[in-house]
Amino acid sequence: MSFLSPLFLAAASAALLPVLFHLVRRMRAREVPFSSLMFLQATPMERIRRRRLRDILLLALRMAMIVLLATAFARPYMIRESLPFIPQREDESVVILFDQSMSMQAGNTFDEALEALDQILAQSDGRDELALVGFAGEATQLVPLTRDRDLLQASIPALRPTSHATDLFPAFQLAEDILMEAQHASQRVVLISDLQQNGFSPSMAEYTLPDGVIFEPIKVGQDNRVNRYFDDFALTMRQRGETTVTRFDARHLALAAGDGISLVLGNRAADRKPAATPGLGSVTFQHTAPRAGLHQGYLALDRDDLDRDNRHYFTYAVASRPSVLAVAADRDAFFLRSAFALAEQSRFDFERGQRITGAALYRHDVVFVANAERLTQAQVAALRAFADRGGGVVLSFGDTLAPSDYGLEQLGTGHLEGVVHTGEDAFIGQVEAQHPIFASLAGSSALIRPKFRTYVQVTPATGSLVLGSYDNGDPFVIERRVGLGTVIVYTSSFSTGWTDLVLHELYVPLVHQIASYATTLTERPRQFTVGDAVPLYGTPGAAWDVSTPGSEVYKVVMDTTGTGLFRELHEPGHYTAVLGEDTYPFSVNTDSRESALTARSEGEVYAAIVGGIGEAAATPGEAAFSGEEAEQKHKLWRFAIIAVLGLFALETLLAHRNRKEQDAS
Amino acid sequence: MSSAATRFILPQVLARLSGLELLARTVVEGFIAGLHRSPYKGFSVDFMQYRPYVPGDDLRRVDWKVYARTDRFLVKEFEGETNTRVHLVLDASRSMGYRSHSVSKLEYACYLVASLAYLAIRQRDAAGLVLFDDDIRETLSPRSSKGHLHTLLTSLSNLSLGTGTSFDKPLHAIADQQQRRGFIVLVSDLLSDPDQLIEALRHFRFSGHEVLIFHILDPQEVAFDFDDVMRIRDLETGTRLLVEGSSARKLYQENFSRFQKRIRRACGLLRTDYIMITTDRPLDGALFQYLSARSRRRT
Repeated sequence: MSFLSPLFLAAASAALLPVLFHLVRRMRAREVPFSSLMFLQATPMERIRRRRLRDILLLALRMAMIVLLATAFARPYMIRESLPFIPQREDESVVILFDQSMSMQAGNTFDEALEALDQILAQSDGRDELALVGFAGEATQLVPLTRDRDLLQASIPALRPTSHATDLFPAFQLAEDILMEAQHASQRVVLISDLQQNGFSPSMAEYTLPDGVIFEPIKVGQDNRVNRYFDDFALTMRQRGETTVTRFDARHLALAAGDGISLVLGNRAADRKPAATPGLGSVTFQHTAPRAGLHQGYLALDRDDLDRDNRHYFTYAVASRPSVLAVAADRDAFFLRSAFALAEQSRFDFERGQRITGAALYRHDVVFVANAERLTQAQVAALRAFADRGGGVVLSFGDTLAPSDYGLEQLGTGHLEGVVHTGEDAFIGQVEAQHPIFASLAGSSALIRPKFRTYVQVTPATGSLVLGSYDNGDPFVIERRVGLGTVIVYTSSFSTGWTDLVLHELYVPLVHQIASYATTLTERPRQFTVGDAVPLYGTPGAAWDVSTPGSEVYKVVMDTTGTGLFRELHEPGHYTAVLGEDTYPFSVNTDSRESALTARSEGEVYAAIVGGIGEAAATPGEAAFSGEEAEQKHKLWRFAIIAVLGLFALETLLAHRNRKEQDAS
Repeated sequence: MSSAATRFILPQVLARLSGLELLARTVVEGFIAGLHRSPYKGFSVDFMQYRPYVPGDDLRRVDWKVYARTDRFLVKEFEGETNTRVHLVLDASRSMGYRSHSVSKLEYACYLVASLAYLAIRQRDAAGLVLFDDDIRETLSPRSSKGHLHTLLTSLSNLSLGTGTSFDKPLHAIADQQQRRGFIVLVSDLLSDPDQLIEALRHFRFSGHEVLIFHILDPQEVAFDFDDVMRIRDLETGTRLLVEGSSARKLYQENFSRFQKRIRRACGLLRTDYIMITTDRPLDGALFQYLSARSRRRT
């Protein structure tokens, strides 16, 4: 409570005068000289005690009147709208949103939040119902609306900070859902948080708390706390002869020049460099990995108040030469072999296969199905599974087989309309110059030289991408991403029956680009952020075992589409998923936005969530109302005057009654 | 000072006058001037007559103004002159020192006695003074000279509070000492054994004295307007009593009323004038009562 004219409160000290007077008199009965006692008798002690009790009551009433009168003149008002006026206080339904995001681990922030929660529970009225919601990236109802304080208290020890980033939106959505079941009309949402800027996602920009719901932000933690963390990370590999050079580029925030940044590979410290300047900076490490295989490690900053984000974990694979499998007619196989085995320094291992089986595909990165024999449903399914797991499938046509047997629709690429024999040769008319396959070829005159006499006309399916088309507009190359891999449809042939492409200089680069692109895609994603979902693929019903940095093991069962999502990315570190002989290691890091500890003020948050009332920089109560407005709104002085009148009436009544009793005695 | 104003001079104002003589003169002259304008002319004290001069009369008493007008020697004669011996009996006990405002009962009683003495001597009565508490402390025999008035007023000026009150010894002693019938004016708060007082009054009557009692009380002794819890100390005995004023008031007033009734009844039976007067009242009422009683005695 505050006062517009607080100087009037000094008048309340006048209430002390009767107290002092009373105390002085109470010390000892006043001695009064009198002419004679011959007409008097001593008054019984019991009566005197009763009289003193009545006097004290009257004294208290009179003091209360003075204090209330002074208070009324001081023009009181409530600082926060959320604070109810006590005499008319309604029972409330309160949802407490408790921030468990990573930033709450900075210093004593989380302990302060627990104290604030404990205080709210201790101060709440027993008739209020309270619910507790814990939130970081997602919101969870920890305790439903209840009057049971013991239940709420019991939930406090279980509260732990997480490594997730803050998102206020799901928390407020859940609070609204909970309040829909509330019993009381008076409703309130209390937010206990460090009010980190990162919590205000784009969804929160449009969010406003429903009318009538009181909002009370409680900020915990220090402002302007500086934290060491990695802001960005990039890992690139470059082939140098038989070895691979890996380069780690990281942008980091250091507290001081000389802060150490370490590179740890496996369990071994590989390198260490000092930060050049305090604040944001960048660092680069290089490492030569002579052997193919999987490598894990992390970059580390020195310890600070918030340790959870001081490491950036990574996992990368140094691949051996990509392996190409060609299941093709003889002539097509000839030209493909020619393309991939032109030189001893070829980047690819090439193998021709006779049949398409799961076991055959497992050992290769890319499969060319070129004018091959008829594909069965099982072979199409095997191709689909191969693509799902990151493999590249390249389909091309020719006169050996009826194109309708390729199962384009099952692979999701499109609908085959039929074979087109052009009267005049068709040329490549247009390509996606930004696509990796054509990026290095775009603009080259080589693109316009090949002639296409025959090709199949394919209507691309939804989700397919036409990477290039003939000069008559029909698709030339179509891509459809399937699972982690891709299916590329080249609508003509890799032999000379339908086109002279294989005779032109475009042929080898084009085939290599297609194979390289498909091979790149076989590299599974290995970097995730806490809170992400990791897609896993396998045969329907199969189960991946995923072990976490905390040595917990989760099972992820593939659904009927052969897909499953692993959602338990709660901690940063190295994870490993295993399904049979397939091992899939990956790394998880905290969201760097959560590491930036810039926070908003309570006033800014109040204005943002309640809906643009007041200045952003003001405190919540002031944001809603200035002191004078609040005083005008509450008019608490009226209640004080009414209370004075009531006390005056009571005092008169008691005094009159006392007088009557005295007269009667 | 106008006579009308003087007539209503309050005791608090009189207390500011220096000297009892001035005070007595102020009161009495004002009172008499007031009487001339009042409906009570029948009580005029200065009634006088002339008689022819006879040898042996004091020449100073010849009215030379009348002689100048009529060529006759006439002598002024005051009625009742030196006929009455007025004994002013003043209670100077410790209880008379009580005051709830600026004038104590003793001070008020002194004003009254001084005024009565002045009035008496002005009427050629002989005025005497007896001061007592539990015994007689001082006695001045009645005389009518102005010098005696001065002596009497000096005694009053030097008066201090005595001890406790007793009527038994001092009043009987007065009755025994005064062989000639006279006018006994008792000025007291009467706060002692009423039986002793009644016995003394009976003794006075037996001795042929007329008695007038001025019962001097402080207003607080009548109303007992106390409210708090307090420890009341008896001025004469020093005894203390814890009482709650508001609840003790009724009992006090009942006891006091019973006491007063008893005194009044005894006074009535003994043909004694009883006048109760509180110290917040002007003195003229008391003087009027005195003259009324004095007049009855003469008739």
